[in-house]
Formats: sequence, structure tokens, C-alpha cells
Amino acid sequence: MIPQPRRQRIYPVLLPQDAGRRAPVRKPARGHPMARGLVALALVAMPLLGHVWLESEATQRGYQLRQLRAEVADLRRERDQLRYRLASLRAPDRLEREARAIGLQPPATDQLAAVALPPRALAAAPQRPSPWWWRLGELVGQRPASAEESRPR
Amino acid sequence: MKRHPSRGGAGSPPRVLALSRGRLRVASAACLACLAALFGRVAYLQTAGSGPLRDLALRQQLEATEVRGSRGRIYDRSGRELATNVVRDSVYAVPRAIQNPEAFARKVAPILRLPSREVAERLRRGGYFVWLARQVAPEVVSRLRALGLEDQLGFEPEPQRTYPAGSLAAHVLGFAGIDSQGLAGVELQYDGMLRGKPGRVLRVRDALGREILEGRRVLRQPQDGADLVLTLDRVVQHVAERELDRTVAQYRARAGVVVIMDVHTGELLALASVPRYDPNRYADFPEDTWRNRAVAEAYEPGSTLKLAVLAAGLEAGAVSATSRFACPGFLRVAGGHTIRDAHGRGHGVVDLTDILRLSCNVGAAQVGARLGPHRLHRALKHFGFGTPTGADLPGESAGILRPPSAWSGTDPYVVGIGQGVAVTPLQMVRFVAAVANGGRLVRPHVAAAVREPQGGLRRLADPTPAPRVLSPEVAASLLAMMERTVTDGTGAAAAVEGYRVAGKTGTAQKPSPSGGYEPGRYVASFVGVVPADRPKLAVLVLVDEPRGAYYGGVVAAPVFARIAAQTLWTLGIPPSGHGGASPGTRVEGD
Repeated sequence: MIPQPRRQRIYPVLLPQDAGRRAPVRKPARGHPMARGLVALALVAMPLLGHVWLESEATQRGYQLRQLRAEVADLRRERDQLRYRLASLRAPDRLEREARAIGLQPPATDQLAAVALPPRALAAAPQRPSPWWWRLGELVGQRPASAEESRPR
Repeated sequence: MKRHPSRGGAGSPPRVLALSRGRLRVASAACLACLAALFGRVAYLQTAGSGPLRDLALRQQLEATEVRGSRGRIYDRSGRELATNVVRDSVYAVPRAIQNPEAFARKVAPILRLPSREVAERLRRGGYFVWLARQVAPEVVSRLRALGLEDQLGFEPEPQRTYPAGSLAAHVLGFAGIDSQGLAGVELQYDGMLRGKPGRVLRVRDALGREILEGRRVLRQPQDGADLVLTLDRVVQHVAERELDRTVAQYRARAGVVVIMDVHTGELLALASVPRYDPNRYADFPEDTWRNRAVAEAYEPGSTLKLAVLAAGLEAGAVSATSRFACPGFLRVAGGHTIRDAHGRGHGVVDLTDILRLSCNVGAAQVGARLGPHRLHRALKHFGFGTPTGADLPGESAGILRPPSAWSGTDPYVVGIGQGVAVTPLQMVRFVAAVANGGRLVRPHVAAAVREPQGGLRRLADPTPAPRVLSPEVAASLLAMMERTVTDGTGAAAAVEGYRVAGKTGTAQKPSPSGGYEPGRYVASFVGVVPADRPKLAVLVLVDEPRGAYYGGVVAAPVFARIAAQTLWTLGIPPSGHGGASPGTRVEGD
């Protein structure tokens, strides 16, 4: 018999049958306090940093957008210049000068002939795309003045 | 044992330490007070005192600017550009950043072609912004950029109105000012439509003054102006201007006008006025050249008014096509005045056709006298004389048609031959269009349609119908008489090969401001209709103060013929005798 210390009493305890087979209770994991602090800090700082990053990114994109808009403005400017140049080159005064310079002359009356085309020939004529000003034909002219119809202002 | 002075007795703190603690408390209190004061100040600035600071910051960072929409373009009836916009840089300086205005001015002023003193003067006014030059050429901008004065010079892109065909149709188009505001012509007449509506944008700038785009707020969206489509034909306009230029130069005339109008619709296909100017640099030309003489200047029409006098007589029943008048070459009228024919020769017995064909003053004066002042005045008023035509061009003159109460006994005679009244070229061509179209007085106009920024095309419609001022019979009768004027009368030089032409010559002495008429100063004119069998165009040619020759049949009629021929070819109107304008008919050159 094993000798017991004095003043210690032993009481009989009825243990459950599967007591020896129960899985050991795992203690909650406890990291280092500094690590926990860093995690907490990261949790707070990350959204803030994200916000700052987004703001700076938006600003950078804004600058890029500004540059792109400037490019668009430059291209528009160039387009307008080209349109102006094209219209200048097509000015009747200039065309006539150029035409005369290469020896062209206005046609004499006997060089002109009125040709009445049959409807079949008109129908067979190739269809050209209709820019917006072709629709002007419906709006401008070709209408006899009469009391009933309205005329352009 | 002697105690050290710095130490206290046993159990009490040392004396130095006690002093330090006292100071520490004071310092702490001071720090706390400072912190409290700072905190209080911060709290104040964040709350009650934030207003002025916020305003200051907003002024530095935010800038509300007006943004102009693009001014609408102007096209001719075939969609060819007559007025457009290009972007030009305007140059400004930042006076605060310039240490030595004189040195700066010496560098910049020669490039801008400005006096150095003027530039230096502007810079001395101080501030952050002063314009140096607006809308300068790209070469000038390149030279200025090469100076490397980025912090002192700035460039602001601005739209500039330009007219690619130069002086073509300048009197119709007018011009727009440096801030894209219409100042003359259709640019002024349709300014509200062309200009669009300005917008307002709130810009945010960073510390370097760059714009932060995500901070930009559009307070009001700018709207581009609508494009305007005119009834003018660029080629016909060119032909009219070229022929008028030649004639004015040939006869060393003071001025000239050509008007070409569609007799059925009132559309003006060309409206030329000489002397001309270039609207791209209108300020370089005298203001007198800006005036559109076709609408703004009235002249005594002379014999071309005989058309209206005869029309009035026929409409009133005072005369008929078979009425006859004796023409001994002169006619003594009340007050001792004598009306003479051009060459002083009598025409014998003349009918209305002869009066027009031979431009018989004596016969026309008798028709005027038969009508009397009231009926003649009423008829001329009815035909649109003495009242603006309502054309969509600014500065239109009403002409001069005095009330019958102001007429003397000789006035029915002299008005009968086109004196004592003043009409505008547009009024005259409008009346002739009424003769050609069967009697309706159409309203001349140059605007055909509007092209909205979204692309829609809208016709500018006039809801009021054209009033009838002549019966179709009288109109047809007059047109036939006018045709005889060209085939067998004073207007022979107006004939166009292949086409039937109707017209009337006019030669009028110019009135003197001091009364009477200026010797040797005439207005030569011709007004006609082509083709006479299927009237399409009314054309008026007027040459003011030609030298060498002055008869309308000599000076103006040949110009009419050249212009009419080229216009008919350009518009594809088939020659007379080829039937109606069938859709399959084309005029082609071989």
C-alpha cells in the first residue's frame, strides 16, 4: 500500500466508463501580444491605406485623363484646321484660278447640250451614299410659291 | 557634520528635486495651457471661424468658369462650308511672376507685333492675369513657347470664326467678333441660334495649379450652336461676284450689286456687293465696305420702275395692253418741267410693250399721270416699295416712297419714270419675281434650314402665304412685254443663247443732296427673268456711277447675260425649247 500523507482523505469517485478515451480539451491558441497588436493595427490600417491608395490612384488617373483630353482637344483642333484647309482649297475662286492656270476654260454655249435621260437610265444610275446635305433637296427650293404651302422663312 | 545645502534633512526630498518638481508642474501647466489654447483655436477654426478660411481655400482651389459651346457652322445649299471654327491660342501674362516688365516686354512684344511700352504698361497693373493678344497664329505661339517663359506666359485655346472662302458672300455672312458674337450679316441675324448656350464648370486645382479632373463638376452643360444652311449657292455666288468685280473695274464704278433669287420661293441664290471685304480680317477694311448694298442702300430705280407703273395701270384698269400714247420725245408737265426721252427723239405712237421695249419716258409718265398720285402710291406700296421686304438680313432699308400728300403736281409723271422714289435692289428683284411667278410677292430670304447639334435637319418655314399683288393675266402680260425688251429693245445685250430672257433696263441720274440731279453720275441697272418660258430666276445687276458708259443696256445687261448663262448651267436648268424641267433632264458640257 502506498503511504498517504496525513490530513488527506480519499473519497471514492465513480468515473464514467469512457473517461479514459475522451479527446483532450484544446486550450485556445494565444499568440504573442505584439503579433496580436500588429494584426489589429493592420486591420485598422489596411482600409485606410486602401482608401489613400484609391485616392492617389484616382488622382493619377485624373491626370492621365486630363492628358488624354488634351490629346483629344489637340486632335479636334487639327481636324478643324484640316476642315478649314479643305474648304479653303475648294473655294471656287481658287479652283477657277487653278483651272485657268492649267488651260481650262468655261464651256462655250455650243459646247453644252441638254440631254433628256429616259427614266430607265436614271433608275440604272449607281446609288451614291446620301450625306446629310442631300436631304436639303427636300427642304430647299423646287417648290412653286402658292398660298397653301409654307415656304422657308 | 555640515549638511550639504542641496540636501534636506532626513525623510524630506532633496531641495533641488523639490524645485524641479515645481518647475515641472509649471511647465506642464504651461504646456497644457498651450495645448488647450491650440485645441481651442483648432476647435474654433473648425467650427465658428471656419467660414472665411473655407472661402479662402475654395478661392484657391475652386474656379467656376464659363464654357462656350462651339458656334454653329454655316453651309451653302449644297452643304459646302461658308463659315467654320478653328482653335487659336490666346496669350496671357502673369504679372506677379514677372520681375522686370520692361525686359519681358522687350522679348515678347516684337513677336506679338505690339509696342513694348504698351505691353510693359499692361504688366505694371499687377495681378495674376492679363491678356496680351487674342487668337494669334500658330507660328507666333511657337516663337513665344521657344522663349521658355512658362511661369510668366500662358496660352488659352479659344475658338476663332473663320471663313474658308475668304470674301465670298461676305455681305451675306457678315462676321463674328473675337468672343464669337455675331456682328453683321446672318452671323448677327441668327446669332442666338448659331451661338448656342454657354455652360458653367467648377474646376478644382491642385497646389501646382493643375486641374484635378475628378473634382470637376459641370454646373450647367454648354450647348453647341446649331448649324445654318443657307439658300446661297457657292458657285453661283462666285460667278456673280466675279462678273460684278470685272464690270466695276472695267467701268471704274463706285459700287455694284447683283441679286439672284428663285422667283417661286424667294430663296436668294446669290447676293453680291462691291466693294468687297474679307470677313476673316474685317477690321482691316473701311466700315463702308461692310454694308450690304443690296438691302441697306436705296437708289432711284429709273426705268426699271416702269414695270411697276405699268403693272399698276393694268391692275387698276387705267390702261390696257392696247392703250396707245403719243411720244414726241418730250412732255411738258405742271410746274414748267419737261420730261425727255433718253436720246431726245420721239418714239411716235407707243403701246405698253413699246414703252418697256424702248424705255419710253414720255409714255410711262403719261401712264403715271393717268393713275394719279393716290392710285400710283397705293400700287407701289402694294408691290412692296417703301417697306422692308422682311428678308432675314440685318440693316434693311425701307427705301423712300413719300405719301401722296407730299407729292407735287409733277410727281405722278416723274414717279412714272422711276424718279422721286428710292428702292432697294431686293425690293426691285422681289417685284420682278412676282411678275415671273404669276403675281405673288414672295419674301426674300437666305436661311433655308437649321441643322441641330444632334444632327436633325429642320426647315425654316414661314407660315404666312405669299400675298397676291398681281393677277396672273397682268403678270403674264408684263412678262411678255419684258421679253420683247430683250428680243427687240434696249435689253438686247441681256440675251442668253438657248434661253428665253425677259427683262428691263434702267438708267437713272443720281440725285444731288442739294436738290436736283448730279450731272454725269448715273446708276445703270438691268433686272430680268430666266428662262422666260419657265421662270426660275430673277436677276438684278446694278452698277453705281460707271464711267465711260452709263446706260443700263450697255453696262448692266451684258453682265446679266454672263451671270444668267453660268447660273443656268450650274443649276442644270435646261435651255428653252426643251420642254419642262423633266426629272431626267441634265445640262452637260461636251
